Amino acid sequence: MDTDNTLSGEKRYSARRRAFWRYLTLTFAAFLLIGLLSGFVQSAYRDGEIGLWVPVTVGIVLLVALTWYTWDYFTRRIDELDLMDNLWAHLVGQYVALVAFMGWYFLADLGVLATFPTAFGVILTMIGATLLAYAARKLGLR
Amino acid sequence: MDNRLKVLRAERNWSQAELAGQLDVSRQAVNAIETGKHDPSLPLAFRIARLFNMSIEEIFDDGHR
Repeated sequence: MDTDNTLSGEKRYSARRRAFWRYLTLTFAAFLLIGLLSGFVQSAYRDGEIGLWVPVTVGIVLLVALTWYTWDYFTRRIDELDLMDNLWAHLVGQYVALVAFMGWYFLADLGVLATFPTAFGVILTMIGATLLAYAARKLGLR
Repeated sequence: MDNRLKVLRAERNWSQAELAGQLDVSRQAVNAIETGKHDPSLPLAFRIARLFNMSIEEIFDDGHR
């Protein structure tokens, strides 16, 4: 982030935006690489080519990276408004996922639905609701 | 919360992006504060007050005065 006070506010704002998008792009690339690596390690472990310690190590590295990224992103990269938008969106996502899971389970238990809740279905619902809530906040529905 | 941010910005002929750059926040944050959709945190309110060389109370009005 540019903190050069000799620049005009407009230029500092442009620099801030560029730094933010560069940061997001690099992060996306890094997690894409980690995702590819974890997929490769998973199949190698299934084929018996590597020991269990390798996927466990990759998993720990991924967890540490995700934790660091989350901390860095929410405390240093975005401003307080975007933090609020993110927190609200994630809260809405969590609630929708909870209601979806319970409703789906209840209907399946009654025999109305053929299957019980799947992790994929619930997570997808949560992501969709989170994105919708975030978009709504960004459109000014605060 | 009512505030005079838009007026103060206009008096200086600053765009929202200019003010956002000086406060190190997004343009959306400036817009949300100006339109009363977001109340700034105390640290940000102090930054705004320092930038305009005013007190927080001279810029923001919570309707209890």
